[in-house]
Amino acid sequence: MPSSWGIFVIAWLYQKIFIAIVPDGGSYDVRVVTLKQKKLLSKESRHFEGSTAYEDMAGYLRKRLDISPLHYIAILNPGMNQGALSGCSLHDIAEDLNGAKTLCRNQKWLLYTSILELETLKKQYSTLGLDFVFSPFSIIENFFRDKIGTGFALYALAQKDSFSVAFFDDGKLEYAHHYPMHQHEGAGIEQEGNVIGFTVGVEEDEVVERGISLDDIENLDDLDIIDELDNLSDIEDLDALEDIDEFSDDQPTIEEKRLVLPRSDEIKQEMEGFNDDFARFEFIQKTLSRFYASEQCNDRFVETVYIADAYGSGVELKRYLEEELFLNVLIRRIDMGDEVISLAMSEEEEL
Amino acid sequence: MKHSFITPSPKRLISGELRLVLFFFIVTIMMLVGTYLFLEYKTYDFIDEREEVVQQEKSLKHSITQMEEEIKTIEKEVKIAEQITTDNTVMKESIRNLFDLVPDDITLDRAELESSSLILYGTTPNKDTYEYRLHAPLRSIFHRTYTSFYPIENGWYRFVSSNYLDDETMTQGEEIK
Repeated sequence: MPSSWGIFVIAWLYQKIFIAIVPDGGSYDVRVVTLKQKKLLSKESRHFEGSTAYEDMAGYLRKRLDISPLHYIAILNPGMNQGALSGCSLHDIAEDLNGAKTLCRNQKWLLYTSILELETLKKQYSTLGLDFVFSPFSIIENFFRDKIGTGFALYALAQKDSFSVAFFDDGKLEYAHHYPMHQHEGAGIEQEGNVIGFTVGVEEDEVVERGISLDDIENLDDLDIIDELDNLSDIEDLDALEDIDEFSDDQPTIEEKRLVLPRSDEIKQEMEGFNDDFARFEFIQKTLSRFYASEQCNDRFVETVYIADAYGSGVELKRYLEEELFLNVLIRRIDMGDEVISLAMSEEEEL
Repeated sequence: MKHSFITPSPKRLISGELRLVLFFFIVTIMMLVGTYLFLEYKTYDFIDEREEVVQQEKSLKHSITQMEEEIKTIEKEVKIAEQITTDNTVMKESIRNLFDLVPDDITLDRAELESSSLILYGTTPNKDTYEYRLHAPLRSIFHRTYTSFYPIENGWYRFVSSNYLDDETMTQGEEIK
C-alpha cells in the first residue's frame, strides 16, 4: 500500500502528455496536449509530410516524450479492414475464427479491426510505442454523442483518405461500413471491404449499382415515411434529378470541366474536392442500398445524415445528398486531433 | 478498454537515473535521520549522566561536610586529650614536687590538690620543723599560706596547711605556660 501511494504521489507530480497521431495518406497530423493535475498546460499541433515525414514526426515526438514518462500516444486506426457490427455475439470468437480484434460496446454493438493490420501498425510505430488505437466509429460515437441517442439516423466521418458510415438507432449501432478513399480511386468501389479474405461475421451483398434500387427494399409500401416523400410535389420521378446541373447531359460534368479548364493548383484542389465529395456521396448511396437490402433495416428509412467533416469540404456532398437522395444533411466540422485526444483522455481515466 | 484496440504499455514512472537519485536521496535521508537519532540518544544519555554526576557531587559534598565536622570534633578531642595529658603531666610533676618538699620528719595524712590551692593534712614533731622545713618552700610557691596546728597525745602536732595562688599569678603562670 505505501508503494502504491508513493507511485500515486510521483504520478501526481508528473505532467501527462497526450499525443494524437492522425495518419493522412503519407502525411501525419500530430496534436500534443500537456496536462498537469487536469490543468491544460500546452497544446501543440504539427503537420508532417514528405518522404521523411515519419522520421521528422518521431524526432519531434521523442523530445516531447522525454518530458514525462506519463505519456500516451493515441492513433486513429488507418487500417482498411475495420468496421463495426450490431450485437456482441461475435466478440469472443472473432479473434479465433477470423483474425479480428473486437471491442464490445455496451453489449450492443462491436468494433473490429484486423489483428494483422493492428500488429503491422504497432510494429510501424514501435520506435514511439502506441498506447491507444481508436476506430473511426468510436470517433463518430463520441463526436455525435448528443445525437446518436435521439433516434435513427445515418452518421458519417469524412476523412481525406477514408470514409466511415454508421447507422445508429437510439444509441445502438445497426449497420456500419468503412471505406478507404484511395483504394476506391484505384480499384473501384466494388473492391473495398473484405480484403485478403478478412471478414467478421457479415456477408455483405456486393451491390454494385449506383443509386438505390427501391425494388430491393421489401415492404416499402408499409413505410409511413414514404408518404412524406409524396409531398415532394416538385419531384415526379427520379429522372428529374437529371435537371441538376452536375448530372444533366446538357451540362459538362466535373471531369469534363477538368479537361477544359486551365489546371492551376486552386482549380486542381477544387476539382479533387468535387471528386472526393462525389465519391463520398456514392459511398453513402451504396451503404444505404446495402442497409435497405439487409435484415437490419426493419423497414426503417433514413431521413437525416450527420456528417463529421475532417477534410474541410462538404458543401458539394451536402448538395448531392439533399438533391439526389432527399436527405436532411447536417455537417459538423471535426478536429480529429482533439477527438482522438478526448478519447485517449477518457481511456486513461479508466486505467 | 472501451474504445482502444490495444492497452497502453506500462509506464515506468521511475527511470534508472531517477531511481539512482532516489536511492542516494533515501540513503542520505536515512543517514541524517540516523545521525539525528544517535545525537538525540547521546544528548539524552549525557543529560542522564550529568544528573547522576550532580547527584554524586551533592552526595560527596554532604560526605565532605560530615567528614569536616568529624575532623573538627576529632581535633577538639585531640586538643582535649593533649590538654588532659599536659594537665596530668603537670599534676604528676606537681605531686612529685610536693612530695619532694615534704621532709622525712613530717608525715602527710591527706593532700587536696586543686588548680589554685593546696591543702595539706599531716603530723609534725614540732612547729619549728614544719615552719623551717615545709612552710618556707610552700610560702615561696603560694601567695597566701595559712596553717593551723592541733596538738596530739604524743606531743606532736596535727596541722592543716591551706595554700592559695592568686588569680594574677595564675594568669601570669598560664601566660608563662
